[in-house]
Amino acid sequence: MKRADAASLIACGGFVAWILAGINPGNSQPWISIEGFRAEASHDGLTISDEDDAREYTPLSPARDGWVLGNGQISGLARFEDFPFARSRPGVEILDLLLSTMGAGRPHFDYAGQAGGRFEARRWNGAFRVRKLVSLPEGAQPRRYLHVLAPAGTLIIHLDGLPVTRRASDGTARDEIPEKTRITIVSLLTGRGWLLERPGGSRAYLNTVSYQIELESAFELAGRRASSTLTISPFRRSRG
Amino acid sequence: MIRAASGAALYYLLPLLAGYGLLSGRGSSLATAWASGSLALLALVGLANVVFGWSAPELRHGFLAVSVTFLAARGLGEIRRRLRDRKGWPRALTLAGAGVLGIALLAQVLLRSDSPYPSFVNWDALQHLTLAREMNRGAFSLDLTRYSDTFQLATYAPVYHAPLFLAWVASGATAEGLYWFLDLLHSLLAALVTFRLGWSIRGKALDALLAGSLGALTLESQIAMTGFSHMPQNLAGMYFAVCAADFLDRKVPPRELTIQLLYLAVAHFFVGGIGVALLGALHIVRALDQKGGLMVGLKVGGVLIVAVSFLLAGYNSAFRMDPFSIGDSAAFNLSADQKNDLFRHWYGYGYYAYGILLAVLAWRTKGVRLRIFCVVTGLLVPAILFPFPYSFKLFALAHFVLAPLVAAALASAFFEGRTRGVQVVNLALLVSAWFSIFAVNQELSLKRWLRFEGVFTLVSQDEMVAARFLDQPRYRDTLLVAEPATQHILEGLSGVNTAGGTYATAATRGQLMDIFSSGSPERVRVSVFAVRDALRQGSHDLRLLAVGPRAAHWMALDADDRLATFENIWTPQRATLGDEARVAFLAGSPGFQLVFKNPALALIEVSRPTTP
Repeated sequence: MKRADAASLIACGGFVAWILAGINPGNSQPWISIEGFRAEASHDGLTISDEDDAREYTPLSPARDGWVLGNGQISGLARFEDFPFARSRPGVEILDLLLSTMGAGRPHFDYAGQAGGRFEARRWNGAFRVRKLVSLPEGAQPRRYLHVLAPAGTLIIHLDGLPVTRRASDGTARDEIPEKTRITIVSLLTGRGWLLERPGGSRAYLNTVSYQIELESAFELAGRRASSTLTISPFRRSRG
Repeated sequence: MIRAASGAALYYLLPLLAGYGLLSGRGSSLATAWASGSLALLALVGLANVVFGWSAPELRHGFLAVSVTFLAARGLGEIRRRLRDRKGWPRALTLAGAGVLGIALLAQVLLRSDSPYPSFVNWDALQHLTLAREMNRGAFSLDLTRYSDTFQLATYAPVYHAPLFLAWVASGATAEGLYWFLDLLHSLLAALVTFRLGWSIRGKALDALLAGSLGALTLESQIAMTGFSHMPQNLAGMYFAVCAADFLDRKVPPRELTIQLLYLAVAHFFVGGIGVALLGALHIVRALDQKGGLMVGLKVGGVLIVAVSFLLAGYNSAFRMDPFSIGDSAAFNLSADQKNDLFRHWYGYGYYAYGILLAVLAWRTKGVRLRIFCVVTGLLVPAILFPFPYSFKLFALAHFVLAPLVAAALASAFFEGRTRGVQVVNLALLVSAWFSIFAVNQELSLKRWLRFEGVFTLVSQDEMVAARFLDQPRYRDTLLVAEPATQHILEGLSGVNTAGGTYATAATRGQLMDIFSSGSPERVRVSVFAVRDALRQGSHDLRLLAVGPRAAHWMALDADDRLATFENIWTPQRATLGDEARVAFLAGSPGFQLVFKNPALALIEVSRPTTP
């Protein structure tokens, strides 16, 4: 092979690598859902009610359908599907995250707005911040949970660096995580991980059956608005 | 399905045949024939509808059938003559064309695999169907806002709709089936047009192959949807590319150029208008540069474009210039970061590399025509980067221009002078990379949030069934009231009238909020009859109310979003117990009569409330 041909192959290969850089289907990230209330239409119009327990969420086909509430109502899982550009909010960088979820199997498709309120996702100094803001009717209280789900098999929850195994029990295993425990979620595929920052004043629980972290009292109430913010920062650990 | 496929084919064939029929024996190009045919069809529909009016549909249809058939028959003869006299294409070009068609088909299989016939994924098409149906009923105006209040602005003349109406009526296709094939055909033709322009730029089959492949695998998945949706601005963009190829192929006679520019201008006032300016500039610069004296000036112009583009690409979103961001349009003025994100998802992360290769090509090229083309069409780049609300719509033009230019630059950088083996490897590398980007892009930035029960569609089968129920004489003069997205869908698919469809006014939206939040059936009736259509009110005593799960989701939006026309419940929704309860509550109340119900929609006849 002539030297010019070899150079052309290398240049074209480099060019292709450049345009493909950043598309990394193996780079899975935790799915974050922000729940805590549901919207339901009745003959009196729209009501938003508290929810009692995460057990109401019955996984139908997690690879496709998302979760459905006990009564058949679709829940408002935040899967970062909120249309980032329709509202033209500077700083919303959702597609990066979408690309990164590819390795976790087929992503969920529930539209975030289904339970009312609006979602925002931002990247700030490398960390993803997800925020949900809802209007509440008179007297309503949002259930005080944020959930961080680690989807099927590709992500492992770590507490202070030690992996937590998933339990197959039918019951609910829900243990409070001490305040100083460092919560991380690590990808089996890439070794990449995310540090979970707890919202101020919230308590954290580990649910080993649904394999999620639940953050209690994560909502802030301000008049008829409630909001919650969750921050996860990427970090890298050695595979060893 | 056969009717729908033939309807889509007729959409493209009728203007071409009519154009060739009109220009028979004059040796005009395909670009001129398309423009002449489209304008002639618009004139014929206008003449038929103005002369015979609403009252004589048989005469109207008879006149159109005879005149269009006459032109088409002449056109067929002309095409036959041209095919007989044509010189053979180079074998390499034929192979490249087949390759592009194969890649485009593969991309469409991936893109539409979860949109089985007749899923509906073209939101704007619903408006165009309404207009075509109005034409069929005998209406005619060059001003779109006179047909239906779903058109708030006249941003193009109905030159797109005349062949749509004729092809639809002639084929007898369903609305949703027709657009399923129109979108598919549009995607394939878009790839072939970039292939053709790629050939015209340097006359090299490899350029054409690369251009067509990149064109087929680039999906502007938001705002422009160039190679995906059959709509006026995308057709105008495609037509601009055909005219650009004509410019590169020959010296276009002034009479033909006038027809081309006229069609482009009316096909879409914004996209076509910019297209007219660029096409006009191409011809003027070439006319001024008979002796090649402008080469230096063109180099300077190219450098200026690169510099301005660089500055605009880096402008800080904190200092955004929003000169025209008023109301809903502000939602489409993207920040620098957002534009950067979209570019990365459409063209790959290192899309800057294309800019560098293009600048090198423009600088080094010796051909005057090619340099004129690079510099003049290169103006599209700063225009897209400019912080203007709908600047991304210019991808309708840029899609067709950038792919062939990038292809020429890539061919020049990685293929020329290389052995056949290296060329094959490089081609495989590039096409595989583009296909990977396309696969990720179509899933994540187009379909991801538009699926319903595993199907990528904006309209469910149940909603289509409801639309078919509405397509009956009883409701021809009845105003239907529903949440905006449902209005838009049912008006487009069935022909029932609504107050503005998805472009309902703030006053109408206020009434809708009352309707879907009130617990008093009497108040619901009053609000249903308070809704006003800007053009026609229809029946005095009867209205239809459509209640479905989209309404509950629309009510769950923030109040600001409910008033915004860009915020919609885009996908079908599953019905909830709350929806059931609302239908039962209304259907059991005096003045309400449930006439249709399926899992997606309940249609309720509402009689006028008695005035106290």
